[in-house]
Amino acid sequence: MSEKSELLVIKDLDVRLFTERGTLPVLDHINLSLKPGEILGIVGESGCGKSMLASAIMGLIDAPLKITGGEIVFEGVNLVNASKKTLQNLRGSAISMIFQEPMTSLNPIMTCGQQIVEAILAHEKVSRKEAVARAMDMIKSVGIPMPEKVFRSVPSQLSGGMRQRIMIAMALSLRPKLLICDEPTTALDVTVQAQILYLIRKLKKELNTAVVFISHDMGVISQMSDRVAVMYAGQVVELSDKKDIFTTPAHPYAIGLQAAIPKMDGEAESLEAIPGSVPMLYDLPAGCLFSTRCERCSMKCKTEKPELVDINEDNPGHLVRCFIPAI
Amino acid sequence: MFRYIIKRTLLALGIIFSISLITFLILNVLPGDPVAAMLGDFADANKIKEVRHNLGLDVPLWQQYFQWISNLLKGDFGNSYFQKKSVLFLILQAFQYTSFLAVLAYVIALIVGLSMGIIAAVNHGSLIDRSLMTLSVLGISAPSFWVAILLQIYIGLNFKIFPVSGVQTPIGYVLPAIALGTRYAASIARVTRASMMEVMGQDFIRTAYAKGLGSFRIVMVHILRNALIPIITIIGADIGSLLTGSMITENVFNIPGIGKLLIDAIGKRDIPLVQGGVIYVATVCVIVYFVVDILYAVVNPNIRLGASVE
Repeated sequence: MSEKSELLVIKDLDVRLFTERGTLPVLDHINLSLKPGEILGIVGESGCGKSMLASAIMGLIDAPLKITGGEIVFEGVNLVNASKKTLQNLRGSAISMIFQEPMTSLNPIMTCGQQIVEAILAHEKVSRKEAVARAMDMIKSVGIPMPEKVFRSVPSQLSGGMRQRIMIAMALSLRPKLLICDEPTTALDVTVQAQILYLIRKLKKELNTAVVFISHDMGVISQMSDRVAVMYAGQVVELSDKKDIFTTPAHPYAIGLQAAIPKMDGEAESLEAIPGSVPMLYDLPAGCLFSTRCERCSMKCKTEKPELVDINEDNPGHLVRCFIPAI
Repeated sequence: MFRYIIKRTLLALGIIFSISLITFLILNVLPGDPVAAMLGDFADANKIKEVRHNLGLDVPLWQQYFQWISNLLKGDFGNSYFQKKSVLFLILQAFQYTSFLAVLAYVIALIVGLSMGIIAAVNHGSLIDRSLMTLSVLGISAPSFWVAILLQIYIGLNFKIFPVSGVQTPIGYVLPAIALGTRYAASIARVTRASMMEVMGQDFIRTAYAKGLGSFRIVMVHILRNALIPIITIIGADIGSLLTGSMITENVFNIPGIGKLLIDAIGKRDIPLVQGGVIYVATVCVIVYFVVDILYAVVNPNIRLGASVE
């Protein structure tokens, strides 16, 4: 696939955390790409670097974290060394983001309408009146009842689901080409979650926006994504089409995540879980980062680091970082 | 909101009433007889008796208090024992000087303090931040009479633009206002910095960046407005204490304000003037805190709307 058709290309991205205990690899050689209109799901446990990746794309990485290598190329512009002004112009208009916590992600003392208007006015030379009209249209399009009233409300008067809808309206008000959703439904109850997911998919289709969808929930990822990247301890360990990853997962960690989804059929006695926990960044294993929890771990896994490689020559595009992938 | 205002008003009246009672009692149990002070050590007993009668000091205490408080309600604060003028007139006259000085000092303090706080918060951890915060510790610690004297010597005497004493011309207020404002500027700077730093770490600031807003707008609209609530609290307390007179600065610069008036009155046991002064101070404080509470609601719609704040 030529890079021209890609909207976003992340190449060998390294993010390091600088601490007194040394430099820790928060993100390690991330390689991902995204075509216009595509949804890339990113899944992994808490602390695996999913949200860090989102912040890196948004250019919101701040000391003591630092991008130490690699590129994030969005429409031919490398965001890693782009000027502050360029980033500021892209943020909110071409690339926008929805956060995990709708309860705290809106300014508590500004009306919801004003917060959307502000985003529009920051990027487009339109009159205030026109911006208000457009903000109102956006509020209507995210399915909020009584939009006039909500426009004038402050966030504390709205429920979590309503606030997340406001966030979505804000993020999409400038018709971005790329939308990053960082666990947008984790803080919401399941029925509201379904509505929000439906809404994101619907608006994505209308605007042909590409989406990076981050979640720790395999179920949500399988509903939303075209392609899926599984992350573990700051690395992508498996990357493929949704079908491949859910029918024939190859990395032991991805298999474990699959098995951990509770099933409705059969007589499940207990919930499956991957033993152990994500290694601490200052105490990473020498070889494969998953070796400490892997059932199939060999001597080689403990000493050498596997690369992310294609495992099936007949059907390229299923990349796995494992010496002994399940095929 | 309406009920809240009524409740606050009643509470305020209760506070002023209690203060009047306490002041009255304390001044009457203090040693030192005002009449003796008026007439001198060698006054004759009949004369003392006569003066006590004229001043209404020979009736029981509760009657004196009742007389005083009922006059007070009619707006009559009584007359000063020594200056032979009405207490209300003396207080209002002194208030003109004090309030002008207070406003000027606080405008300076707000401009300097807020700018210092904002600059320090935006550059937190940097050399600028650390220098500004060191400066603010100095500002808080330096006694105002010391600052006042330094200003008199180094600016007043050297440049001969600002008079070192008296306020015959408005320009005479400049040095006292700086001396008085220094401490307030320093504390505003510290509170502003701390409050802004707290807001900066919150999720909605990240949202503001993600929207692509400019740093200036984020700092002034999103961070500062949310950070204002604790700042308004200290502004309220500061203005309350400024309006009730700054005894030291007023004395050093020889300004006939409330502070100087009260100090002189206490020294001479001029009881009506002291009582009136304390009632004035209490009223000013109560009113200022009342206004501050209303301002909270203006800044934070969550309070105005009675919504829960998490």
